[in-house]
Amino acid sequence: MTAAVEIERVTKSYGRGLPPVVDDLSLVVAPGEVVALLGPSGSGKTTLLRLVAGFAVPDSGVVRLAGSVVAGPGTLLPPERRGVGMVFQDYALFPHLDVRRNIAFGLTGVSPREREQKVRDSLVLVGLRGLEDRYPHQLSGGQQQRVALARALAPEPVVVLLDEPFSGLDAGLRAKVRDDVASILHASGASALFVTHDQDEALFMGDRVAVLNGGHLEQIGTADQVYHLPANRFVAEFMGTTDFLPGMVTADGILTELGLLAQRMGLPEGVTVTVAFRPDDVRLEPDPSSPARVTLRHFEGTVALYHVTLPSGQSVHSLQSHTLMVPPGTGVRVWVDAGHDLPCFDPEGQAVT
Amino acid sequence: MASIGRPARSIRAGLPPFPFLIPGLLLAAGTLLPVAYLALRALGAEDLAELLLRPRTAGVLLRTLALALSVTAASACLSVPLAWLTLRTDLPGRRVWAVLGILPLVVPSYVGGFAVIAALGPRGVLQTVLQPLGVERLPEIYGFPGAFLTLTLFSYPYMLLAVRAALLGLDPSFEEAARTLGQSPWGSFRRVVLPQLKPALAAGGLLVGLYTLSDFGAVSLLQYDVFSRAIYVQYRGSLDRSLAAVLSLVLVLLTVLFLAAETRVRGRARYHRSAAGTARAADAHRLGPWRWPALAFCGAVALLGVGLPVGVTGYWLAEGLRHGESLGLVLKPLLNSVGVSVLAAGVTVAVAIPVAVMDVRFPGPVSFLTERVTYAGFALPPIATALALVFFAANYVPWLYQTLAMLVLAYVIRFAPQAVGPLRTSLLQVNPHLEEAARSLGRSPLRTAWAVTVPLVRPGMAAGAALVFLTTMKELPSTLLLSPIGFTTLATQTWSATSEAFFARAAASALLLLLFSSLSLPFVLRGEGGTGTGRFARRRARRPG
Repeated sequence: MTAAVEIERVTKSYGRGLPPVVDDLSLVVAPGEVVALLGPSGSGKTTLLRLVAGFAVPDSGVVRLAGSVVAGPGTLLPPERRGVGMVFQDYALFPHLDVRRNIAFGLTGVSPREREQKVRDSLVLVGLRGLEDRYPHQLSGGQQQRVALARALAPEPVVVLLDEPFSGLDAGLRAKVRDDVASILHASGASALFVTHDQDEALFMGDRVAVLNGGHLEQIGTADQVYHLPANRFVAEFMGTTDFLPGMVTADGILTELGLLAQRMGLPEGVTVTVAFRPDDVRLEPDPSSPARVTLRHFEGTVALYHVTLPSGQSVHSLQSHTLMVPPGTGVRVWVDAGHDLPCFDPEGQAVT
Repeated sequence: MASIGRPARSIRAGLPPFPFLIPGLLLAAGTLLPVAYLALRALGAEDLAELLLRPRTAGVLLRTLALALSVTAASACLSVPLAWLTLRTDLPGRRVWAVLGILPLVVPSYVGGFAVIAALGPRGVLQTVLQPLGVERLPEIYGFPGAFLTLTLFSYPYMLLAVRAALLGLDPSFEEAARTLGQSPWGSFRRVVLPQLKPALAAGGLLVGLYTLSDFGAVSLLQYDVFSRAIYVQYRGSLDRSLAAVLSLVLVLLTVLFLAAETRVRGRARYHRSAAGTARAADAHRLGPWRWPALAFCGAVALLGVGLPVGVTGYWLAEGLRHGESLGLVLKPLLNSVGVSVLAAGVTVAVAIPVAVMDVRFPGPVSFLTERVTYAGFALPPIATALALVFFAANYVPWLYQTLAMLVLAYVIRFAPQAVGPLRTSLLQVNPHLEEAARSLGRSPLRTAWAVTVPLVRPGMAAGAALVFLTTMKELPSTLLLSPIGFTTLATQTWSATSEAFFARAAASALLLLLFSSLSLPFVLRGEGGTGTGRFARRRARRPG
């Protein structure tokens, strides 16, 4: 089957002499697939979305939608001829049109009856029947979000592009709307490319997650792959709180300040690597004789995050049940118990095994 | 799956789309061409040096400068006390005096000229009142005194507005600090307040100066031979029009000088401004017994600036009706005025949309230049641009010369900035994502503009159209020079009847003009109207259901 979106070696910079915002980047979205574009601000993720939508013009490279070239050498299709749906960060609902006419806006060239039917179907899909006559300002943030999604989906686009779709919502509403949007997208069978800087959102929503940095694609893979097998140090660092410790490969595993990590490596003995681990991999218990000390305890509800300073001065984080009470200043014994192999990186920051 | 359309021609980076670019460039060309032609014509005159160095030209230049300077100085003498009295003292009825002080702004200069002549001129109101007392002759009003009086009375509010704004932004603790440092109230005003008003005085002064330079109505009625009048007389009275072109070009250059100075001063004024917003309201100075002379001063200014035009028109209207003058005479000019103004407003807004869209949505050198050039049409003296259009049309498009279309075109070129301004403001409030959403939903740029942008900028369109309508109603020189033969408007009727001292005949149309003009006061005071989506939301919210 033809890919919904194919981005092939696309480069874009805003002005001559400026560094590229998107740098020789390639990416494919399969039909029905939801791909999350994740990266810090300035990583080029929104620009990439606008290159697909047709609001930005690539300097070089090719963009294909459903197999047809929409941007490439000698070809440039304007946004209205690309057949993409877009959900904007601020929803961009037309304030002078009610919900019905907002959703029907993209349904041109169909009979009025068909249009009415499609509007109704879209409203059922997003669960907003009965609000047809409301104007955007009469809707809650979550409802506006769903109307924006319905409007983008109604013309059955090749791909739906979502630009930070949840950033305008408060934390409580966010989780709920995120669930809704994920199920609506899957129910509609639409391909989607969405931009976020929130790794939880990306892991939750994306069938695959593409991690961007400085206009480069650092890694693309399923949520599990990106989280557990980061391709490099940047990805490991970006996917949640991560600590790094130097280690040396030995016959039995990797020797670190937190002891020996039993983990089989393909590298020769004596090579130094950097090991990455997350707070939930780190255990601790009070031990007055240990030189490692708790420096801070962050209470986070069901869990507490401990900051521990090791004798070397290195600081690590440990996630513990809220029932464990270790006041700052206490000596603690710290060890790693991950239950899986930990990612290791060479001095260049690339993953090694 | 949605189908994917034909490939488009490549989008040229940096250039706005053609549906916006072409009307914008046409408007810019319409503004530039006649002026360029004027310059060519004047510079091409064989005896250019001789025309320029004539004693007459020097005299006109001197009179123009003398008038502009004296009107500006007099405006400052009226504006500073008026602003201070109405903002910083316990003067009784301060608010009323403030409004009355600004109101003369809406009196067109030729209506003001009519009022001054019909009140103080030979056979005027004053003469009629004084005749039984044996006064046979009043001091001459024609020439410098009348022109000076009229232009001061009806242009000083520009300076008053600037000074008021500066005074409002001035922290009162400056004055208090000066008082604690041993200054008297007058001393603290002179040494602390006045120096901080300087940028406002300069900016307001240049506005008044520009107004005086470009005025045609008052100086022509009062027969003071400055550039505007000299150009008109030369054009009407002589077959060789080279001198008119040369004089126009000098006037344009003089205006450009003033404009450049105004831009510089305005830039510096912003730099000098004290922190925005006053921490607290200033305590009112107690006038004590001084309030009587203060009231007399405010009363005198209001009497001359508001009472004179309204009273004199009322008096002559009543006189005319008493002597059997028919009100029907004013009907045709009224219909002509309204008709041509509606037409001008519609066309101007239609042309202004692409210019505003280009400026807001496709910023770049082309858009910037287009917008700037359209502003030039407004800044240049109307007599010069009107004359340029006459020359241009007579030579190159004779079939347009003295047609209604030509007249409307002149209005459009002259008043386009008044429509671009509010439209720009409205457009800036429209989220560009709305237009992108429409594009990604399959609408072309033009259809997007029609379905999304235009409905959202309707308040700006309405404000722009209203402003163009009102200024077109008042416009005299363009109408005088470019109207089809026999086409009279309220403005031309007031002017011609006053020139021939038919005061009663001028009164009805002058009064109507005063009425229409006063409608434009809210625009003048609030600047640009239109709040885009915000206003939309409020309007919709009021609907039931």
